Order: sequence, then structure tokens, then C-alpha cells
Amino acid sequence: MEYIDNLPSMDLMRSEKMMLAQLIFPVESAHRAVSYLGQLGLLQFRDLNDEKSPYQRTFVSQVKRCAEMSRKLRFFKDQIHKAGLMPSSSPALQPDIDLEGLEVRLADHEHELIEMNANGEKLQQSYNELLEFKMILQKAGDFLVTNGSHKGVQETELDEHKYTNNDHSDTVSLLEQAEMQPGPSYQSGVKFISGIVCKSKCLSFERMLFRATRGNMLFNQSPAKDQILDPSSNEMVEKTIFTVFFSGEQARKKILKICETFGANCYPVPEDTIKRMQITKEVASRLSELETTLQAGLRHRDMALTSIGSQLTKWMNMVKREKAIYDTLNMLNFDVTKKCLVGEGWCPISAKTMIQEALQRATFDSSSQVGAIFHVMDSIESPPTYFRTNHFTSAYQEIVDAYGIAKYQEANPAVYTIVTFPFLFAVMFGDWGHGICLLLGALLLIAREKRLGSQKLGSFMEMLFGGRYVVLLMSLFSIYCGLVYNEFFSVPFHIFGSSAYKCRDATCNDSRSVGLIKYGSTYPFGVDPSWRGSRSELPFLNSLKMKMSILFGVTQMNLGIALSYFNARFFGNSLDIKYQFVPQMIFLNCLFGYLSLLIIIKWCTGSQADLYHVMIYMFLSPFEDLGENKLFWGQGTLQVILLLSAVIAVPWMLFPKPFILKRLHNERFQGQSYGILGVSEMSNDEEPDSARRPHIEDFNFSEVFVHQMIHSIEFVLGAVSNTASYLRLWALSLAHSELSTVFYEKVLLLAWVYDNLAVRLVGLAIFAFATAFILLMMETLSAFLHALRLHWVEFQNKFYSGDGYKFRPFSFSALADDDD
Amino acid sequence: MGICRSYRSTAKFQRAGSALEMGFLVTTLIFLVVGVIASLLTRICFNQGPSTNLLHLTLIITATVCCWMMWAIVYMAQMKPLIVPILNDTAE
Repeated sequence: MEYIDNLPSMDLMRSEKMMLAQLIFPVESAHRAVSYLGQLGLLQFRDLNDEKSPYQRTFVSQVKRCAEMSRKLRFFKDQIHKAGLMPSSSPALQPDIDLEGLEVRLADHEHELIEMNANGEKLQQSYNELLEFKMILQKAGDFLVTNGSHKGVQETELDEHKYTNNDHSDTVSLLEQAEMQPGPSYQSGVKFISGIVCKSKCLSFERMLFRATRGNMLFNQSPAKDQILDPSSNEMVEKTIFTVFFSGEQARKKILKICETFGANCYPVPEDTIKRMQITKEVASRLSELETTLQAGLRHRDMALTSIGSQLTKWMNMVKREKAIYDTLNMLNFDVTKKCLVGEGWCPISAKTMIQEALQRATFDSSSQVGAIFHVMDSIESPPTYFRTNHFTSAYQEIVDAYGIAKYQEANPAVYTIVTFPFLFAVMFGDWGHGICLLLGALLLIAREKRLGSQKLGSFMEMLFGGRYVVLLMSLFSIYCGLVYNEFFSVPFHIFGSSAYKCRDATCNDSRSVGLIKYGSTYPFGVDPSWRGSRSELPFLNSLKMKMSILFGVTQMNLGIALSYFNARFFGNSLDIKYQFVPQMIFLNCLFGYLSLLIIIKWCTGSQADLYHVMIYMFLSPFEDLGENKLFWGQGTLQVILLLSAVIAVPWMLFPKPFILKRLHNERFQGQSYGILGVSEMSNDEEPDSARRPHIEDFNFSEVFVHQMIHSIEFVLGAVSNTASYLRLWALSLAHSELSTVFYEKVLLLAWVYDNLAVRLVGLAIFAFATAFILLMMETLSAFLHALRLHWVEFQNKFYSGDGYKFRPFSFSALADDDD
Repeated sequence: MGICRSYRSTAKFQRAGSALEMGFLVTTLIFLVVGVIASLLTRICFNQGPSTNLLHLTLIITATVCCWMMWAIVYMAQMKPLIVPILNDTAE
């Protein structure tokens, strides 16, 4: 037993040893010290100001400033994204800017950008209007030519009026001009309004106009050639150019109102052809001017954005770090003298020297007179759990952590999960053809590790990339299990020698009725290839795989109970060893360990005993004669002994522990029930140190007893249900094999019968798609999930409590991952 | 006469028994050797301190035991089969 204690500790098995440290910084070096500790990333600060709201904390104004700066930076990022520019990384390390200078610069840039955007919008709006006007001029000209005979002299005056308005009021929008026309108030004469409206609304627009003018109008329309950018909604829409001919002032007002409702833009078009051509030329020249102005504006803005963009990531990182530093400083307490900041934190014991060195560097760099103090404190609270993982083991640790973080220093199931999880996956997936496909995928992901690691991936690809080493092991074990099951896309091969079965005689007459016989030594590795395609294949394989599942299940559960022994030994809990580990082992192995033994004996001796019968009648009538179900000498006596042991084990794990706990509690706290008054007086003088305050628990016997009863019942019933649960290994393996067979025989072979190349190619394509999507993706996910369940429930509930909390150190590198 | 028959049957049993068990034992030995070689190779190539070495050893032992169990179960199930392959009517 001492040998076990003297073994060196294993890397991932138990959490790193953690200690609670108290740090005292002088105020001038506090910021720098926290910054260096953040770079180190090995200390988890405890929040000493838990009760205070965010607004009551010391450094709240700095935090607000940082939040404001990050808002500005997000605005810049948005603008860069909208302009379609790529944010480039800064080429070289530029000198550090301090926070105030950065704030001022950011404010300047923001102001500049907002101004440029507003100007640009205004210019864009005028550009759009002019564009619409140009199109209307072109199209409306056609309408007016046909209607030119109706014009009177008054209308030419009207047009001149409109024309002069155009010259003198440049700043006023053309839309307003159309409405400002003081129409001469005569009743006769046909007037017109031309404009542009969305194509989708054109029909209802026309109908509305018709109703409003009681049919006294003429509506001409023609679609615009190109799509136009609608200034209000900022989309490209199709528009129709229309001209409405009407008479009367009332009609005009109504039409203008209807135009406004429908969002139709009206523009003043002169009737006279010559004037029209002049205006068209003017509009064209103004358009080209505006275009150049717009382009120049856009270029200017893009330059500004690029110069911001090159520094954007650096600034964002800086602001994030500063905010994190101030958040951390908010967790510290001011000392009585207001000259020091006091903090508490968890760190691994192995990191002590590194932290002390970082603190010394901070003192030196900030030229402070007083050094920071770092000393270890005792604590009652349970420390956080910290496992040092690398690329390979971190994926498995995450799988285990997803169920529950290990309690401080309890055995970590990840150590065994690294091998057993891919192995159980492979038992359910076993096909070495599919395994090779998975292997290629995993190798591809690993080869492109660096490139994919820096990219931003979708959530599914990210999960797949994160688990690339898991998939690698899964594929390797799948290839192995596929060789054992002798399935290559469901086709068996004779890799390891010839089959062990042959016909009974030379004519092979009874091969279809009675079957072959086994003449030689067993096929050396895996399932004999003669089984594939035979009628008795399924009964044989089902029996084999069911028994295999039971054997694997009993083994893994025994491993779980053994780990609970090592846990109890590590924590010095001999009560658990004597009254939990021993009866659990006895119970499980007397029943299901015995079943496993029977399976092996039946295989080795080739007996025809019915194991269901044996197990059930071991309970129902243990003293009866076994008859044909006898597998070995002394079986009957052995069964009685095992049954009695299992029956004794149940009260053994149920009763003694609560009573002994009660006795131990009474012994420990016997003297203290009188000292309660004294203790409460003394505690007022001490410092309120949350972790050091001892408290007397009261022992609720009924609670402990019920807890133990639940635990025992869970184990006893779970022994049966968990063993049966392992039969999913059989079920999924059967499903995979059958799916594979169906696709091979009913798709590929069927298509191959035809001599036609096209049919064969189609068959091959369907086979490839079915294999890739159903077998490689769906079955992989399914087997992954079931292997995961077997680990989380059946394996871990034998020993894992999983109620710890994870070590989250204050670290700048973790920040970068978090916010993105 | 009876003694000769029993002698012959025991001899056959021994031969048959040894034939069956020899294959099993030999392959089990092969698994053992492969496991030992793998752990030695890992110790040589990835030597990273005693605690990490112990972790690697645990992983290799677990993998070897799992793979051996898988093979052994399938082998033992075929040693003395109770049913035999009965070919289909439409033979492949």
C-alpha cells in the first residue's frame, strides 16, 4: 500500500495545488503591478467588494471612460466594415500611447468621421435627385411632344417662371421647388406634373389619381431604364416615370398631396423643347460635377478610415486591457491608511516565484519606494480547480468539464477518457474504410492547424477544429475496430489468412441447409470472413456484440469504483473505503462480474448452457440443481455464496456510515457547545476575513441518512441499469453495419450489374453521398453522443462529484479570446 | 483397450487444446510486446518529466488493454462456436 503512496503524482490526475495569497500594493505601483500580473495570467483575484454596486466602486470613472472609448472603436470598426475596407494589422510596433492621449485622438477621429458621413449623405441625396430629374426630362419629353398642341401662352410663362426658379435657388431642393410654384389661378388650360414613383406602387397611384380627379386626368407612364438608389430607404428600386395631365387648381393640389403620400418625387419639366434641352444639358453637367465631388469625398473618407484601421486592433486591445485592469483594481480594497490596495487571490503554488518576480518588476518600473507584499493565507473555502493542459489534452478536459468541473484535487476522469472515449466510439463505428476517411479528415485539420487557428470559423467548424485530436484518435481506433469486425465499407477481407470454415464435404450440398463446419484453427485476428452474407450472421454477431458490451461495461464500471477508492485514500477518508468502496465492489462483481466470468467460461468450453437461465434462477431458486446449465464444477455452491455476499453488501453500504458519522461529529464538537458565547464575543475584534471564518455545522442525522440511502439505492439499481445501458455499444454497431451493408449491396452492387457507364457512375455517386452524409456525419455524431453519455453517466457516477469551480486567472490572453 | 482409447482421446484433447490456446497465447504475447515497445518509445521520444511520463504510460497501458480485450473477446467467441455459417440461397 505504501507503494501506491510513493508513486510520483501523475500529470493530469489531480488539480494543481492552489494557495490563497494576499497582496498589498502601494497605490502608485498598483496599476503597473496588475498589468504585469495580467500578462502572467496565473492569479485569480477574489472580488472583495462583492456587496458594492458598480457605481460605488473606486475606479468607476476610469471604467466609464474605457467603455466610451471602446464604443468609439466599435463605431470605427463598423464604418470600416461598411466601406468595404479590409482592416490591416499594424506593420511594426509603434510607441505606446497613454490612455488620455488615445482618448483625445479617438474623439477627434469620431468627430471627423461623423462630419464626413453627413456631408457625404447630403451630396448623395442631391445626386440622386438630379439623376431622377435627368431621367424624367428624357422620358417626359416624349409625352409632351404628343400633347404639345394643347399648350397655351400662359403656360410658357409658367415654364419661364419655373426655369428662373431653378437658376436662383440652388440650395433649395428641387422637390420643394415643384411645390412652391405659385400657379396662376386660371381655370382653363391643361397642366401637367411629371415625376417618378416606385414601380410597385404605380398601379395604385394611378387608380388613386383617377378617383381623386374623377377621371379628369391623363396618366402617361414608362419605366425607367436603370434602377435608382432611393434616398430614403437606401436601396436600389425600380421606378416608373409618369406624367399626369390635369386641369384646375383643386386637382393640382390633390395630385400633389397624393404624390407626397405615395412617395413619388415630382420635378418641374419645362414644356418647351428648347428649354428642356437646355435644362437637360445643365443637369448633366451638374451631375458630373457632383459625381466628382462624391468620389473625392469617398476617397478622403477611405483614407481616413484606412489610417484608423491600421491601428484599430492595437487600440482595441489596449482599451480592453485597461478596462480589465480597472475592473480588477475595483475588486481590491483600500487599506486603512488609504495608501495601499489590498487584494486576495488564488494561484498555483508552482507560480509563486513568478508572481513575486512580476511584483518586483512592477515596483522597480514605477520607481516606488515601497515594494508589494505577497504572502500566503489559510483558507477554509475550497480552492478552484486547475489542470495544466496542452493542445492535445485540452479537448478531452473540456469534454469532461462540460459535465461538471472536478472538485479540488479529486481524480480527473479525463486521464482515462483520452483513451476510452475514442475506443468506445470505435466499438460503435467499427469499419476501417470509414475510419480511413475520418483519419484523412483529422489529418487535414491538423495539417492546417496554424491557418485555421487564426481564422474566425463558424460554430460547427470551430467545434470540429477544437476536437481535431479527438477525431484523430477516434479514427485510429475505428480502423483497429474495423479490422477486428472485418468490415471495409461492409466488405470482409481475408487479410489475416484463410477462413476457418469450409464445406462439410466436396459437393457443398448442405452448405445452404446445415452450414459449413469449422475445420481448422480460429481465424487469427477478428471476425471470420465467412460470416458475411450468411443466414446465421446476425445471430452470431448479435450474441458476440452483446456479450462484448457487457464485458466492456463491467470493466469500465470497475475502473470507476477503483478510482473512488483512490479518491478516498487520497483524502484520507477510511470511512468511505470500508463502508462504500468494499460493499460496492462486492455487489457489482458478485452479480455482473460473475456474469462476465460465465460468458468467458462459456466461450472457452463451448458449453450450451443458457446464461439468462443461469442468472435468473440464481436469484429465484438458488438451491436447485443446475442440470444442463452447469458450466463448471462447484457452480451451485459458488452461486449461493455470491448471492449471499451481494445481499449482505446492500445494508453494509446503507447503514453503518451515517451512524459512524454521527458518532464522529459528536466526538469532535462535544466541548464546543458550551463555548458558543465566548466565540461570538471574540469574533467582533478580528478582521472580517471571509475565508478564515470558521463555522460550526450542525449535524442533521436524518439528512445524512436519507442522502446515504439515496446513494445506495442509486448504486444498487444503477448496477443493473448501467450494465444494460452498455448494450448501446451493440445496438449502434449493428445499425452502422446494417446501414453500410444496405448502401453497398442495394446501391453500389445494383448499379454495377449494368454494363452502362452512366448508370455505374450514378450509382457510385449515390453511394458516395450516402456514405459521406449518413455514415460519416450522422453516424459519427450519433456514436460520439452515445460514447459521451456512457462516460458522463455510467463511468463518472461511480466516483466523480464534479462540483468544483474552474480556475479563471486574470489574464490578457484570455481577454482576447473572450470578447471576440 | 479402454486405456489406449482414453490415452488417445487425452492426447487429441491436449493437441486440440494446445492448438486453440497456442494461437491465443501467442497473440496475447504479441500485444504485450507491442505495448512494452510503445511505452519505451514514448519514454525515449517524449521524455518530459516523471509526472508526464507516468501519464503517457497510463495512456499506453489503457490503449493496449482496450485493444487486447477487443481482440480477445472476438477470438474467444469464435473458438468453439455453437452456430456455423449457413450460406444464403443466392450465394455471393
